[in-house]
Amino acid sequence: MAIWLRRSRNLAHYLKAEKGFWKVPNQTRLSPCFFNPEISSSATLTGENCGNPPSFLGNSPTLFGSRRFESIKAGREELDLEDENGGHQNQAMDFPGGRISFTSEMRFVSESPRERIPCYRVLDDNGHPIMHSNFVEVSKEEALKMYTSMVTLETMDTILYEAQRQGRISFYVTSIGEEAINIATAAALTPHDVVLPQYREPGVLLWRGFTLQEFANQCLGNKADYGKGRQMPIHYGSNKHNYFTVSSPIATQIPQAVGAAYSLKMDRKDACVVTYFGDGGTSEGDFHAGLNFAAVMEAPVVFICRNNGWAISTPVSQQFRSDGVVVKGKAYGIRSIRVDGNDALAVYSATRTAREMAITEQKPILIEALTYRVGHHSTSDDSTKYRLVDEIEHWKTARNPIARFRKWVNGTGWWSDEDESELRANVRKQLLQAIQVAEKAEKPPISDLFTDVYESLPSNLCEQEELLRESIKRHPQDYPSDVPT
Amino acid sequence: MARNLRRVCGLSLISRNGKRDLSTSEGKPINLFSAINQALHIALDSDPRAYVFGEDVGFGGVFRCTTGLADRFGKQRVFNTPLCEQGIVGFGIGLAAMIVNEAAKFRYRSGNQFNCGGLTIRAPYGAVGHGEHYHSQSPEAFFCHVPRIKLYNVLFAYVFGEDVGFGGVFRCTTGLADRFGKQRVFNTPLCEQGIVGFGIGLAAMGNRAIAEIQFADYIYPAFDQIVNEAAKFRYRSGNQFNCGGLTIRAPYGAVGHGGHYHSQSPEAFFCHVPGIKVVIPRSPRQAKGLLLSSIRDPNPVVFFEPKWLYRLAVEEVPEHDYMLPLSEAEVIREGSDITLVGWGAQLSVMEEACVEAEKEGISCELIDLSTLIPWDKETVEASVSKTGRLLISHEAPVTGGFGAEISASIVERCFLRLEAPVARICGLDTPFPLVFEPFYMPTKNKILDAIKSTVNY
Repeated sequence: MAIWLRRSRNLAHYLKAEKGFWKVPNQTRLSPCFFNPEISSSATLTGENCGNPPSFLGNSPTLFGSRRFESIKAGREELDLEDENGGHQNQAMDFPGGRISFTSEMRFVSESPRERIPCYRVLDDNGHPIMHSNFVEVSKEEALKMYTSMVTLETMDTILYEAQRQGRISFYVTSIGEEAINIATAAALTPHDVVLPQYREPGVLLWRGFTLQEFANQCLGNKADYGKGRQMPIHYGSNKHNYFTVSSPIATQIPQAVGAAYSLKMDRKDACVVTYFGDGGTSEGDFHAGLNFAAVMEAPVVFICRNNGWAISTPVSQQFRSDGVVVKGKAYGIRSIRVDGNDALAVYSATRTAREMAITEQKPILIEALTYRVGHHSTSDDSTKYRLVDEIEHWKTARNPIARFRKWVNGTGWWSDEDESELRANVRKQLLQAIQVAEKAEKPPISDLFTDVYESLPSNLCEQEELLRESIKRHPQDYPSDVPT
Repeated sequence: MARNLRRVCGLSLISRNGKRDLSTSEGKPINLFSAINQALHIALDSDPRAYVFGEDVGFGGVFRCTTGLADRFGKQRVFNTPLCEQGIVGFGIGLAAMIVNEAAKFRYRSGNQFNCGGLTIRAPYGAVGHGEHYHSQSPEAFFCHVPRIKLYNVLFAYVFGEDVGFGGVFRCTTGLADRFGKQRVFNTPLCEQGIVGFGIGLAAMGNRAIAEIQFADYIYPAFDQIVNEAAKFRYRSGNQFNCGGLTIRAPYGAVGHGGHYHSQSPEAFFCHVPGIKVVIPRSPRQAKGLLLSSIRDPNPVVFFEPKWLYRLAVEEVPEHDYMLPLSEAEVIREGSDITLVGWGAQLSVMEEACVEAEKEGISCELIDLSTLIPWDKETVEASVSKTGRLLISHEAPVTGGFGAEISASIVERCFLRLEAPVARICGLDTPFPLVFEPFYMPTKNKILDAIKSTVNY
């Protein structure tokens, strides 16, 4: 019978026979060493030495080539290989992109896995570390900073949300329910890592030292706002904190993050880029563009998806039909992990590890953090219109990330109830003070309407500013009086 | 009951006569989103093959325009989509094409075999009070020249785009990768939004990112990144961040056989975006100097290169590093009877018309705008103050083309001086045709005829 009727040998055997010819991608060989709590080098992380880990630091020609599939000439003749038993194997051919084995069994890859990718967690719902869990240890100081930051974030959100309701600010977006993702990811980074947020990550900025006053200034759009009053509230940005300014369009930051990461790569910096987006953002073309570019450019970027179940009113079942977001990484050749986004220790560990991998191996990593958006999408939304109040309550209470982490820091004896009430009272007081100060402060001058459109003022804007000033003089009642001319 | 009948009658009057007769319809005062909601109800009710879809429309939408529709017509006709505008419109085109039988060209390019006329794209727009704010060298050789000089001068300059590695489809990037290495001159995946987004990020970190879009016709997937991100990057951050190092190059314009998707002049879309610059060179020598200026300008620049001239135009171009100023229009031919304004490849056509007009005793002043935004109004104004007449010519369709902006601005400034209406000799309001290209184009004779009729007005 013709050769092609023979059953194929198993792939591993075939690969062994051809070892060194087709480099197996790293992500198919995640070794248990990955969970070693003492993470110190990439070799430990991946359980293998994938070529020359530190070579990117030099001008190695392998920099861009070593970890790619070898590009093979198309349409080469079928190889007729003799295996160790004298049988013939010719069920493989070179195609552009690599060698592919053939099969005579027509089998479609299933659209959904038998089992979903499991979710990494360290603390159980009661805040107790799970037996045999592997995680990166945190010091008492770090843990307390994480906890107090989570509480501060929650308090800030609650009060600023109320301020919007009272008409003191025009708009607000809370991160209630996602405090662990905000703070724990931030804690796992260094100040040199560049952050490109979506808009539900103010906790990262908070962790880095943005003050409550600075937050309030932006929300009130006063003279001290670094954004000069140009954008809606919560569109924070701070170059001194390496936190790119928030923009409303969804997912646009994703390919930008890759460009920024490429810059770090070329400058050989010991830093990575981290970019955040929600479940909804993964439907945008920019998500696809960004992940694909990151893999091809081998950019040191960590993609963090806050899968909180909702994109405004659209539940994830109407957003995609894949096993969430984590499986999409593989499609682009990106190593990925799914983590319990409400478990601060798990999020911390995963992010720390991802960062190390991204920098030492100079490649992108995808983290899907599962969580729940407890608050409404924004102050312009009432989520009880499209989801059950019971569901919201459940996540607010039983699955609360702050409560869970609190149980852990209580359990370690690092935190007490007195500390708790003192903290909450202090933060509340500071915030109310900050809002008052921000409200009283002057707005930015009218000249700030025209500056920074370009690096210097073009003639058409000079002209328009002149005309506007004349109009203001003639009809002052048409214009808000708190903007100085 | 009577009121309801009248409402129905009002509608049927509209449909029978084909005229809008609002006087017979009695209505309650309602706000805009309610009016839209009513229209959508009617649309779905009157046509069983009508669908309403988009982000969050199921529960009524963020502005409540779609309230009640899903309950009334069911979730198969009124449904949420994933968060992806290009997906929403693409899906809509396909759906519309199937019901009736890339929306604007769908009918035209198929020769009316197919159309997606049933597609309506709704989007809230406008201010809301608290919402704010997206030598003998041929031209190819000098386009190569430019990035080479640029890459030497600045350590952190990068050239990237589809196929730039081997030299690019127009050979503009020949030799760069060999000379500067694949880390600085590299191919990207086939994805314009990725190319521009990546470029923004790279530029934001202080680098010079020189992105190439293979044809201007394919720039639209990057439109969001250009308008909403690049153009606003500095402004929205309060000057904490900027992507001024970004330059986007794209071949544009007619080439003789390009058809719909290899001939477009999309400059007008970009001229409407504060925060970016749009630069279009007319010749090899101009291109080198303008491109170097664009790359070094601390603002993001969209640089359209006339592909017609890539091989055709040959000019003496200095070998050294030189820059030509942006936002400075150039009077390339002096005259006294009429001012002509244009850019890019069209200038050579206009020049021919000027030469012919000269033979008939008409003295034409020809101006190359060169930078479209911010544009040099002063030079054009001074010229029209002298001549009293203006003619603008561009390949892009006349309606909403950049000529309209020039015309409006000059009329504002020179109204009393003008001896005749401002003439615009431009492309037709059609997709760029193949066989009909010679008819579509603003030819020398069309321009000449307009010069004469303007002068003889």
